[in-house]
Amino acid sequence: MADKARILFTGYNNAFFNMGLDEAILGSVAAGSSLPTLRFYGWKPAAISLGYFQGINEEVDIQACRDRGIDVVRRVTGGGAVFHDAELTYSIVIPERHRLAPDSITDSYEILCAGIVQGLSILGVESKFVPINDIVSAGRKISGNAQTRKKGCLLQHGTILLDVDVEKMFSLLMVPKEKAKGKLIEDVKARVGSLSSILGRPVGFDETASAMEKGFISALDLDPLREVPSEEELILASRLADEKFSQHCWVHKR
Amino acid sequence: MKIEAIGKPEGCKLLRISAVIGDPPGLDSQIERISVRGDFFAVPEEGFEALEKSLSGTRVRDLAEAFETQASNLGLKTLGISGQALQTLIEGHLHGG
Repeated sequence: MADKARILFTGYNNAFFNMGLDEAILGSVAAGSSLPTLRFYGWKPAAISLGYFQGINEEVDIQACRDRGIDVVRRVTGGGAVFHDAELTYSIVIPERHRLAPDSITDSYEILCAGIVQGLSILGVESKFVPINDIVSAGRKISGNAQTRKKGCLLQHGTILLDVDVEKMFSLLMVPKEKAKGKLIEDVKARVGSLSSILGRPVGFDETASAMEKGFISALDLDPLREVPSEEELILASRLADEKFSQHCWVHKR
Repeated sequence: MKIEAIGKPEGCKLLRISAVIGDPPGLDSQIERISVRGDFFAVPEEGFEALEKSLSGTRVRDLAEAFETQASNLGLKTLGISGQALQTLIEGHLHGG
Protein backbone atom coordinates (compact mmCIF):
# COMPACT_ATOMS: atom_id res chain seq x y z
CA MET A 1 0.00 0.00 0.00
CA ALA A 2 1.26 3.45 -0.86
CA ASP A 3 2.58 5.50 2.04
CA LYS A 4 1.30 9.01 2.61
CA ALA A 5 3.81 11.70 1.79
CA ARG A 6 3.66 15.47 1.88
CA ILE A 7 4.65 17.23 -1.34
CA LEU A 8 5.95 20.80 -1.15
CA PHE A 9 6.68 23.21 -3.98
CA THR A 10 8.45 26.07 -2.27
CA GLY A 11 9.64 28.02 -5.31
CA TYR A 12 12.83 30.04 -5.36
CA ASN A 13 14.63 31.13 -2.24
CA ASN A 14 18.17 32.03 -1.31
CA ALA A 15 20.73 29.38 -0.43
CA PHE A 16 20.63 29.94 3.32
CA PHE A 17 16.87 29.70 3.59
CA ASN A 18 16.80 26.67 1.32
CA MET A 19 19.21 24.78 3.54
CA GLY A 20 17.38 26.04 6.62
CA LEU A 21 14.06 24.76 5.34
CA ASP A 22 15.46 21.31 4.57
CA GLU A 23 16.76 21.14 8.15
CA ALA A 24 13.48 22.48 9.57
CA ILE A 25 11.53 19.82 7.66
CA LEU A 26 13.90 17.19 9.00
CA GLY A 27 13.04 18.38 12.49
CA SER A 28 9.29 18.32 11.95
CA VAL A 29 9.31 14.86 10.35
CA ALA A 30 11.52 13.63 13.21
CA ALA A 31 9.08 15.06 15.74
CA GLY A 32 6.18 13.36 13.99
CA SER A 33 4.46 16.68 13.32
CA SER A 34 4.87 16.29 9.55
CA LEU A 35 4.49 13.42 7.14
CA PRO A 36 7.49 12.14 5.20
CA THR A 37 8.13 15.04 2.88
CA LEU A 38 9.22 15.52 -0.71
CA ARG A 39 10.09 19.11 -1.57
CA PHE A 40 10.95 20.78 -4.88
CA TYR A 41 12.71 24.12 -4.98
CA GLY A 42 15.02 26.51 -6.78
CA TRP A 43 17.74 29.00 -5.84
CA LYS A 44 17.67 32.78 -6.22
CA PRO A 45 20.22 34.20 -6.31
CA ALA A 46 22.25 31.42 -7.89
CA ALA A 47 24.49 29.74 -5.37
CA ILE A 48 27.14 27.16 -4.74
CA SER A 49 26.51 24.56 -2.09
CA LEU A 50 29.54 22.85 -0.62
CA GLY A 51 29.59 19.34 0.76
CA TYR A 52 29.94 19.18 4.53
CA PHE A 53 33.53 17.93 4.34
CA GLN A 54 34.84 20.16 1.60
CA GLY A 55 37.38 22.91 2.15
CA ILE A 56 35.86 26.13 0.84
CA ASN A 57 39.15 27.65 -0.31
CA GLU A 58 40.01 24.50 -2.24
CA GLU A 59 36.69 24.20 -4.03
CA VAL A 60 35.36 27.67 -4.69
CA ASP A 61 36.73 30.87 -6.20
CA ILE A 62 35.22 33.05 -3.51
CA GLN A 63 36.13 36.32 -5.17
CA ALA A 64 34.57 35.22 -8.46
CA CYS A 65 31.39 34.32 -6.57
CA ARG A 66 31.33 37.73 -4.87
CA ASP A 67 31.87 39.48 -8.19
CA ARG A 68 28.94 37.62 -9.77
CA GLY A 69 26.58 37.78 -6.78
CA ILE A 70 26.71 34.04 -6.18
CA ASP A 71 26.03 32.92 -2.61
CA VAL A 72 28.06 30.12 -1.07
CA VAL A 73 26.54 27.81 1.54
CA ARG A 74 27.70 24.65 3.25
CA ARG A 75 25.29 21.72 3.31
CA VAL A 76 24.62 19.39 6.22
CA THR A 77 25.28 16.56 3.76
CA GLY A 78 28.55 15.32 2.32
CA GLY A 79 29.32 15.08 -1.36
CA GLY A 80 30.70 17.59 -3.79
CA ALA A 81 30.17 21.25 -4.57
CA VAL A 82 27.15 22.10 -6.72
CA PHE A 83 26.45 25.24 -8.74
CA HIS A 84 22.73 25.90 -8.36
CA ASP A 85 21.60 28.01 -11.29
CA ALA A 86 19.37 26.58 -14.02
CA GLU A 87 18.30 23.49 -12.14
CA LEU A 88 15.63 21.92 -10.00
CA THR A 89 16.48 20.79 -6.50
CA TYR A 90 14.53 18.25 -4.49
CA SER A 91 14.77 17.07 -0.92
CA ILE A 92 13.15 14.08 0.69
CA VAL A 93 12.88 13.44 4.41
CA ILE A 94 11.69 10.11 5.76
CA PRO A 95 12.01 8.38 9.10
CA GLU A 96 14.82 5.81 9.23
CA ARG A 97 12.24 3.13 10.06
CA HIS A 98 10.42 3.81 6.77
CA ARG A 99 10.48 1.09 4.10
CA LEU A 100 12.33 3.50 1.78
CA ALA A 101 15.20 3.96 4.23
CA PRO A 102 17.22 0.77 4.54
CA ASP A 103 20.23 0.75 6.87
CA SER A 104 22.59 0.70 3.92
CA ILE A 105 23.20 4.24 2.69
CA THR A 106 24.24 2.84 -0.69
CA ASP A 107 20.97 0.95 -1.03
CA SER A 108 18.90 3.93 0.03
CA TYR A 109 20.53 6.14 -2.59
CA GLU A 110 19.49 3.67 -5.26
CA ILE A 111 15.94 3.38 -3.92
CA LEU A 112 15.34 7.12 -3.69
CA CYS A 113 17.14 7.98 -6.93
CA ALA A 114 14.69 5.71 -8.73
CA GLY A 115 12.25 8.60 -8.40
CA ILE A 116 14.54 10.83 -10.44
CA VAL A 117 15.22 8.15 -13.06
CA GLN A 118 11.46 7.70 -13.41
CA GLY A 119 10.90 11.46 -13.61
CA LEU A 120 13.53 11.77 -16.30
CA SER A 121 11.89 8.95 -18.20
CA ILE A 122 8.61 10.88 -18.17
CA LEU A 123 10.52 13.75 -19.78
CA GLY A 124 11.84 11.36 -22.42
CA VAL A 125 15.35 11.06 -21.00
CA GLU A 126 16.89 7.64 -20.46
CA SER A 127 19.12 7.61 -17.43
CA LYS A 128 20.54 5.31 -14.83
CA PHE A 129 21.70 5.45 -11.25
CA VAL A 130 25.47 5.17 -10.91
CA PRO A 131 26.75 4.50 -7.41
CA ILE A 132 27.55 6.16 -5.15
CA ASN A 133 25.18 9.04 -5.75
CA ASP A 134 24.96 10.10 -9.38
CA ILE A 135 22.43 9.82 -12.18
CA VAL A 136 23.90 9.66 -15.63
CA SER A 137 22.40 10.01 -19.09
CA ALA A 138 24.44 9.15 -22.19
CA GLY A 139 27.57 9.07 -20.06
CA ARG A 140 27.02 12.53 -18.63
CA LYS A 141 26.12 13.40 -15.07
CA ILE A 142 22.69 15.01 -14.96
CA SER A 143 21.90 14.69 -11.27
CA GLY A 144 23.96 14.62 -8.09
CA ASN A 145 22.53 13.57 -4.74
CA ALA A 146 23.61 13.73 -1.11
CA GLN A 147 22.23 12.10 2.00
CA THR A 148 22.53 12.35 5.75
CA ARG A 149 20.77 10.82 8.69
CA LYS A 150 19.89 12.82 11.75
CA LYS A 151 17.30 12.67 14.54
CA GLY A 152 16.15 9.27 13.33
CA CYS A 153 15.41 10.56 9.83
CA LEU A 154 17.00 10.34 6.44
CA LEU A 155 17.43 13.56 4.47
CA GLN A 156 18.45 13.30 0.85
CA HIS A 157 18.66 16.24 -1.48
CA GLY A 158 19.84 16.51 -5.04
CA THR A 159 19.66 18.43 -8.25
CA ILE A 160 18.52 17.93 -11.81
CA LEU A 161 20.33 20.16 -14.28
CA LEU A 162 17.98 22.00 -16.63
CA ASP A 163 20.67 23.87 -18.48
CA VAL A 164 24.31 24.52 -17.82
CA ASP A 165 26.82 27.22 -18.61
CA VAL A 166 29.89 25.07 -18.24
CA GLU A 167 32.34 27.95 -18.56
CA LYS A 168 30.56 29.91 -15.83
CA MET A 169 30.30 26.85 -13.60
CA PHE A 170 33.98 26.10 -13.86
CA SER A 171 34.94 29.73 -13.38
CA LEU A 172 33.36 29.49 -9.92
CA LEU A 173 34.29 25.94 -8.95
CA MET A 174 37.88 24.80 -8.73
CA VAL A 175 37.81 21.20 -9.83
CA PRO A 176 41.11 19.29 -9.68
CA LYS A 177 42.02 16.96 -12.53
CA GLU A 178 42.01 14.04 -10.07
CA LYS A 179 38.22 14.37 -9.82
CA ALA A 180 37.68 12.84 -13.27
CA LYS A 181 39.90 9.84 -12.61
CA GLY A 182 38.27 6.59 -13.64
CA LYS A 183 35.38 8.27 -15.44
CA LEU A 184 34.46 7.45 -19.00
CA ILE A 185 34.85 11.07 -19.99
CA GLU A 186 37.97 12.38 -18.30
CA ASP A 187 37.35 16.05 -19.07
CA VAL A 188 35.29 17.26 -16.10
CA LYS A 189 33.60 19.90 -18.27
CA ALA A 190 32.48 17.33 -20.81
CA ARG A 191 31.04 15.12 -18.07
CA VAL A 192 28.25 17.57 -17.22
CA GLY A 193 24.92 17.13 -19.00
CA SER A 194 21.61 18.97 -18.83
CA LEU A 195 18.01 18.28 -19.79
CA SER A 196 18.04 21.04 -22.38
CA SER A 197 21.15 19.73 -24.10
CA ILE A 198 19.86 16.15 -24.09
CA LEU A 199 16.37 16.99 -25.34
CA GLY A 200 17.51 19.71 -27.73
CA ARG A 201 14.98 22.23 -26.44
CA PRO A 202 14.60 24.50 -23.43
CA VAL A 203 13.31 22.58 -20.43
CA GLY A 204 11.83 24.66 -17.64
CA PHE A 205 11.62 24.42 -13.87
CA ASP A 206 7.84 23.79 -13.71
CA GLU A 207 7.85 21.11 -16.40
CA THR A 208 10.70 19.31 -14.68
CA ALA A 209 9.20 19.64 -11.22
CA SER A 210 5.92 18.19 -12.45
CA ALA A 211 7.69 15.23 -14.07
CA MET A 212 9.80 14.63 -10.98
CA GLU A 213 6.74 14.73 -8.73
CA LYS A 214 5.12 12.03 -10.87
CA GLY A 215 8.36 10.08 -11.02
CA PHE A 216 8.86 10.01 -7.26
CA ILE A 217 5.21 9.16 -6.57
CA SER A 218 5.32 6.28 -9.02
CA ALA A 219 8.77 4.88 -8.28
CA LEU A 220 8.48 5.17 -4.49
CA ASP A 221 4.79 4.25 -4.37
CA LEU A 222 3.72 7.36 -2.48
CA ASP A 223 0.23 8.59 -1.65
CA PRO A 224 0.79 12.33 -2.13
CA LEU A 225 -0.71 15.25 -0.22
CA ARG A 226 0.13 18.64 -1.68
CA GLU A 227 0.72 21.03 1.20
CA VAL A 228 2.70 24.10 2.14
CA PRO A 229 5.36 24.28 4.86
CA SER A 230 3.98 24.89 8.33
CA GLU A 231 4.41 28.24 10.01
CA GLU A 232 6.76 26.61 12.50
CA GLU A 233 8.92 25.21 9.71
CA LEU A 234 9.14 28.59 7.97
CA ILE A 235 10.07 30.39 11.18
CA LEU A 236 12.73 27.80 12.02
CA ALA A 237 14.06 27.89 8.44
CA SER A 238 14.54 31.66 8.68
CA ARG A 239 16.26 31.30 12.03
CA LEU A 240 18.57 28.58 10.72
CA ALA A 241 19.34 30.71 7.66
CA ASP A 242 20.31 33.67 9.86
CA GLU A 243 22.01 31.87 12.71
CA LYS A 244 23.64 28.91 10.98
CA PHE A 245 23.77 28.63 7.23
CA SER A 246 24.77 32.23 6.46
CA GLN A 247 27.31 32.40 9.26
CA HIS A 248 31.01 32.61 8.37
CA CYS A 249 31.90 30.00 10.98
CA TRP A 250 29.59 27.48 9.28
CA VAL A 251 30.36 28.30 5.65
CA HIS A 252 34.12 28.40 6.32
CA LYS A 253 34.04 25.46 8.72
CA ARG A 254 36.62 23.62 6.60
CA MET B 1 57.01 17.09 7.86
CA LYS B 2 53.84 18.65 6.43
CA ILE B 3 52.20 16.84 3.58
CA GLU B 4 49.34 17.68 1.27
CA ALA B 5 47.98 14.75 -0.72
CA ILE B 6 45.08 14.61 -3.13
CA GLY B 7 43.62 11.70 -5.00
CA LYS B 8 40.67 9.58 -5.88
CA PRO B 9 41.56 6.02 -4.95
CA GLU B 10 39.51 3.14 -6.34
CA GLY B 11 35.98 3.16 -4.91
CA CYS B 12 36.45 6.53 -3.23
CA LYS B 13 35.45 10.10 -3.79
CA LEU B 14 38.00 12.88 -4.14
CA LEU B 15 40.09 13.00 -0.96
CA ARG B 16 42.35 15.85 0.15
CA ILE B 17 44.67 15.19 3.05
CA SER B 18 46.69 17.63 5.11
CA ALA B 19 48.89 15.95 7.67
CA VAL B 20 51.90 16.52 9.85
CA ILE B 21 54.12 13.45 9.99
CA GLY B 22 56.86 13.00 12.57
CA ASP B 23 60.48 13.02 11.42
CA PRO B 24 62.03 11.15 9.84
CA PRO B 25 59.07 10.64 7.52
CA GLY B 26 58.35 7.01 6.75
CA LEU B 27 55.90 4.20 7.34
CA ASP B 28 56.83 4.00 11.02
CA SER B 29 56.45 7.73 11.59
CA GLN B 30 53.63 8.95 13.74
CA ILE B 31 50.87 11.08 12.31
CA GLU B 32 50.85 14.15 14.53
CA ARG B 33 47.80 15.75 12.90
CA ILE B 34 45.55 14.87 10.02
CA SER B 35 42.70 16.66 8.30
CA VAL B 36 40.71 15.12 5.47
CA ARG B 37 38.49 17.08 3.15
CA GLY B 38 36.63 16.08 0.03
CA ASP B 39 33.46 14.75 -1.57
CA PHE B 40 33.01 11.77 0.72
CA PHE B 41 30.21 10.97 3.16
CA ALA B 42 30.33 10.19 6.87
CA VAL B 43 27.25 9.92 9.06
CA PRO B 44 26.91 11.48 11.56
CA GLU B 45 29.00 14.23 9.98
CA GLU B 46 29.79 15.84 13.31
CA GLY B 47 31.66 12.70 14.41
CA PHE B 48 34.27 12.96 11.70
CA GLU B 49 36.31 15.62 13.49
CA ALA B 50 36.57 13.31 16.49
CA LEU B 51 37.77 10.58 14.13
CA GLU B 52 40.48 12.86 12.73
CA LYS B 53 41.62 13.76 16.24
CA SER B 54 41.67 10.12 17.30
CA LEU B 55 44.17 9.34 14.53
CA SER B 56 46.86 11.56 16.05
CA GLY B 57 49.70 9.35 17.23
CA THR B 58 48.94 6.58 14.73
CA ARG B 59 51.86 5.24 12.69
CA VAL B 60 51.45 5.72 8.94
CA ARG B 61 51.55 1.97 8.39
CA ASP B 62 48.67 1.52 10.86
CA LEU B 63 46.43 4.26 9.48
CA ALA B 64 44.10 2.03 7.48
CA GLU B 65 43.24 -0.17 10.43
CA ALA B 66 43.08 2.69 12.93
CA PHE B 67 40.67 4.65 10.73
CA GLU B 68 38.25 1.74 10.43
CA THR B 69 38.49 0.88 14.13
CA GLN B 70 37.94 4.43 15.30
CA ALA B 71 35.11 5.00 12.81
CA SER B 72 33.40 1.93 14.19
CA ASN B 73 34.01 3.02 17.78
CA LEU B 74 32.49 6.41 17.02
CA GLY B 75 29.49 4.88 15.25
CA LEU B 76 30.38 6.50 11.94
CA LYS B 77 29.11 5.13 8.64
CA THR B 78 31.40 6.21 5.83
CA LEU B 79 31.02 6.17 2.08
CA GLY B 80 33.53 7.21 -0.55
CA ILE B 81 36.43 7.15 1.91
CA SER B 82 38.40 4.39 3.57
CA GLY B 83 41.36 4.04 5.87
CA GLN B 84 43.23 2.11 3.21
CA ALA B 85 42.69 4.93 0.72
CA LEU B 86 44.10 7.49 3.16
CA GLN B 87 47.09 5.32 3.98
CA THR B 88 47.78 4.68 0.30
CA LEU B 89 47.65 8.39 -0.51
CA ILE B 90 50.04 9.27 2.31
CA GLU B 91 52.40 6.42 1.47
CA GLY B 92 52.36 7.51 -2.16
CA HIS B 93 53.26 11.02 -1.10
CA LEU B 94 56.09 9.78 1.14
CA HIS B 95 57.44 7.78 -1.78
CA GLY B 96 57.32 10.84 -4.00
CA GLY B 97 54.20 9.68 -5.86
